[in-house]
Amino acid sequence: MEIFTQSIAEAVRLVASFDRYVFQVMGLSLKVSGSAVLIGLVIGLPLGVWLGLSRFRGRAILVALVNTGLGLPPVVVGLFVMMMISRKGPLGFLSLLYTPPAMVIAQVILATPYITAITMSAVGSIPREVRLQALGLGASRIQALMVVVKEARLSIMTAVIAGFGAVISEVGAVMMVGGNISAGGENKTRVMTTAIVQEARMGNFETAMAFGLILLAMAFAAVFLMTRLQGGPRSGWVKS
Amino acid sequence: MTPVEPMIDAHTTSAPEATGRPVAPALEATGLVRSYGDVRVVDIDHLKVEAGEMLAVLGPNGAGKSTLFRLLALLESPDSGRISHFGMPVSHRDLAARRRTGTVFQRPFLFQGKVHSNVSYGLRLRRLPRAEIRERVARALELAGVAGLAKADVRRLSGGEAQRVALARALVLEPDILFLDEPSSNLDPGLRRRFRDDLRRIVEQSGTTAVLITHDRTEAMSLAHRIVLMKEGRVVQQGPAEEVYSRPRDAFVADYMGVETIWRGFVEHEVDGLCSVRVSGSHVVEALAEAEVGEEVGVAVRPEDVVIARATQGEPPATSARNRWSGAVVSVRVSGPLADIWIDLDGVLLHAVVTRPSVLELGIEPGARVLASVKATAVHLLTDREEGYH
Repeated sequence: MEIFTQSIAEAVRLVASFDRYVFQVMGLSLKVSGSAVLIGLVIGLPLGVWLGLSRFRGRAILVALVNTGLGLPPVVVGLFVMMMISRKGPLGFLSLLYTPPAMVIAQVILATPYITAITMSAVGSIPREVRLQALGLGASRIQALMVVVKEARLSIMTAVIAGFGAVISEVGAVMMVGGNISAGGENKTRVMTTAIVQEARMGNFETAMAFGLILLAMAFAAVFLMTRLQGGPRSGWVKS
Repeated sequence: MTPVEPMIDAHTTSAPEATGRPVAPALEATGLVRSYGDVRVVDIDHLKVEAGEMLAVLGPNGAGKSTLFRLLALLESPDSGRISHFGMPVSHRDLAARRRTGTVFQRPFLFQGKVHSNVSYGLRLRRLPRAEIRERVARALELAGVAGLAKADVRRLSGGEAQRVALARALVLEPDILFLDEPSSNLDPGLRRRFRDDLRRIVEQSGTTAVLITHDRTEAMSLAHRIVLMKEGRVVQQGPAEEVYSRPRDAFVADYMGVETIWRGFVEHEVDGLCSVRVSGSHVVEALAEAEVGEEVGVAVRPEDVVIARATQGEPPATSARNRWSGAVVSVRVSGPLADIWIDLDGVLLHAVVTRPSVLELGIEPGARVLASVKATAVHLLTDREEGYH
């Protein structure tokens, strides 16, 4: 059991002493996953509102596609993005392989279905009279949609957290398209998950555990925030 | 069109109206149709609401009232048909027209946040100056009887308070037409009556034109000037509230307006408007009504128009009523100050309402022999003629 106590103690020391390497890797993780979630929000929010509120032919297929997206294996997404941007791929001319933007692209593909699916069910659960009520008070179509989104904002924040949680903890996609490159004291594409794989393989359990602790702390914070948001008092229209 | 026509129009319309142009109805709908799948949920030839009037759209569940509401309030588009506000054609795409209306739904549907931000919502959409918003919100809250709640969180409101805030949120817009979809049906009985009283006072004071959707005839009768009764998407009867109540045009209207006694019969004689209608072998009803000899009619008798006396061995009580029937009480149901009584008149059932003290005084109980009398003017004949069905 010594291996655990020792590595945890060392991990705490690394985090507490603001170790440069640890913080570089953590910073890139947050940057890549944060950007992916923001872009996912720009795509998934309008898509989710549209799918949640409109009825049209083929909607069921789109909804099924979005829900399938929730179960996309990150490593397959990584493979797909890698092929697209590799030198022989259709987007090879952009020279994106093994760069942070490539990692962002892969994570956008992973995060967007989460945000779309949760937004969809969130706006779908707001009574349709809320939109009609806004229209009846003089809102334009867009303004009425904004009211619905605003009413669903807590659930949409949950969507963002869930999407962020999914991408910051995945290892397959960032490994494939990022390459886990860190050389000469300069971190290029190494994030916390790929760092854990790398350090553990090299026997540096303390460093691996430091990243593990940070990830766990983040996961805990995310879950805590989500339960706080969901468990909060409901809005006024729920009551008659 | 020839160039002569407009001149003729101008002449004929302006001549009798010395005061100016005739005033267009606040709301008019023509040929309004809305279907969901194969079902025509709304199919209305013509409907209008005069300025300053409150119209109640009355009908059972599934009559298409709420769909009609959404069409008239410009929240949804009809499959076909035209709607005009004050003579101007309008549509659901017409934001300016929609902004001259206000709507209140069955449930308050308040937006998350404070009461104040809910009530100011419509005014903020209209980009009014802050000072004016503050003043109008205060006035609307006062009018709706929730002046003290401006800073309250909507989650803290009771059902009655929430509905009053929803009303204030529509009133604050000072709408030309106010649309109300069952605004009181979610409230407790006591609250409902107060809400109705306040609603009537507010609408009367402001002179707002209003359309009230309701399934409750008491609400329709107590609030509206005119009533439109709907069934299966169509208008069954339209007219002043008192007229729809006292002169239902068919059995459905009579039943919906609270007439429980409707007998089928045919007109035997007719002299100067006094019809004798044979209801059963031994039973003849006299009614002051328009009908033709031989015509099949429904005979409607309002329970409150039936006068009950205890049948005695001696002289029948003096009364001017043309219809006097004796029968046996079948059942008595006392609810509050009134009692419902069903009387068997040799095979046909008559429903009557009397006060609770008279039940005791007359000793009315199942099996008791009673004399029921009804004036010929209180009997209403229902014909199944199709004309005037809109």
